[in-house]
Amino acid sequence: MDNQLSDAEKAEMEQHLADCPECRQQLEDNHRLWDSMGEIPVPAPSDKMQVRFDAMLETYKQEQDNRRPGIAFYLQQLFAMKPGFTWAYSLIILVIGAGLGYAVSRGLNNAPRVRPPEGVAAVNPPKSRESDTPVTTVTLTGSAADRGTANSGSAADRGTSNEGSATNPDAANTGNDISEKQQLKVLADQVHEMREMVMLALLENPSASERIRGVSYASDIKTINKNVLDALFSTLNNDPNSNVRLITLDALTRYANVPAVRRGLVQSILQQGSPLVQAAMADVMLRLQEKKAVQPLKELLEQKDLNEMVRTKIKQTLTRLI
Amino acid sequence: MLKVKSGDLDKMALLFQRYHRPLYGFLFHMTGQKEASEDMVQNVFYRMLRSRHTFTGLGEFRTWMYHLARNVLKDHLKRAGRYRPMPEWEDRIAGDDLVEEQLERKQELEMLQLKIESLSPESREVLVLSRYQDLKYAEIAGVLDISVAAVKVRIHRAIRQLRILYLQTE
Repeated sequence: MDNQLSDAEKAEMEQHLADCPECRQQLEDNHRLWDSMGEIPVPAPSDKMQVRFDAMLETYKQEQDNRRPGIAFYLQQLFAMKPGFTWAYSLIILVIGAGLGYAVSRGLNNAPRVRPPEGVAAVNPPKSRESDTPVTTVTLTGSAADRGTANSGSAADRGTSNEGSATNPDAANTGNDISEKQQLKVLADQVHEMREMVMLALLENPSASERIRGVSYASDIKTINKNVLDALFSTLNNDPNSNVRLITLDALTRYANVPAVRRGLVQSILQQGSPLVQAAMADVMLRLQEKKAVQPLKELLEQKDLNEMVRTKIKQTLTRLI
Repeated sequence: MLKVKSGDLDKMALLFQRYHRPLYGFLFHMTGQKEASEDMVQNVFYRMLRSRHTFTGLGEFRTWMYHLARNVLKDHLKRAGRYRPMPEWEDRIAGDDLVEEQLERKQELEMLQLKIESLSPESREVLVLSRYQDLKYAEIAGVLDISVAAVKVRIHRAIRQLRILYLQTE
């Protein structure tokens, strides 16, 4: 009726119709129904719509201008227009990170640059970053900055707390160390911020595998903040690729100790249409023993064309949650 | 939309001009509510602005738009309850000097709209998307995140359900 049959299918259908009066009747009824549907009057939207929209757009633009006039916004714009720039930017971070690392460590009297990264990791386990990020080029960035930070970090530790460590010949610079420690904190914060920016930019990338990379960055970000959470939830609920959404679910689950994250996850249950993601969410809720998920899961069960596998899984989950 | 995404927010107005009517039509056919549909249209465009970074440019804009619209619709249904009778019919079709047949026809159509609304949301949305928004099955599959075959099955079921209802009170 809406002309979507191929010619072959059409021919088949007409052949069948020649022999089947019931079907002919059905088709006729369907046609009448179809036509009637077309006649149902739809009121025109009011004239105020355009005005409302314009007002909303203006307000939004102003909010945007007020909120993010800074470098982060322009960087995101850059990424949106030229995805290839991501790599160039990562290289720049690499250079900056390495340069800063060298500069800071040279500024200190100790010369820890010679130490291998493993040594650093052994001395300062709490400060060492994960060196197993799955991303190639950006791993270089990450670990170069890490080595810079970690080296500086360990040097500062040695400076201020006088730990007796193998390659720690010096202990006499307590005067300089305080401001150096401040510098290092600033440096660490900047690296952290850059990481966050790269992550947010990757999440906008047209390629799904780049977006997945972006999500995996979240695991490296120590203190999760609102921007990152918003971006992750937005991806979870809106990304067209179900694999990306699955990875995002994973990432978000890691922060499930934050109440806002749990709430967001529960709300997300009913927004998922893909069976894979629905099943994954049921699993997550079970693992978290999140009672608030019971209601949305029940609502999900009422959807008539719910995938059978998912239906079974949700029922199981519900029995173990209540 | 790609231009909006990269920062040219004014292009959003163009998109609004081009798409707000079909979007309104979709929402109206789904809910039967004029004002609520208008509100939802604004909501959808706002969400499009806010989540513009998730538009990948790989699919059609329409697909993405209807995807967002469905989310807004879901939220609306959650808040407003499942099925509401419509007090808005009176002002929709000019009533006074209609001939008897026209009146009858008008009532038939009203009933039909009600029947469409009594369908389950899944059935209703495939019907509306294909009948009124003229989306091809492949596009509908993209909006709903299901396979084309599943779309065809749903449409078949929906038409069958609606036909039964339609013939009941003819």
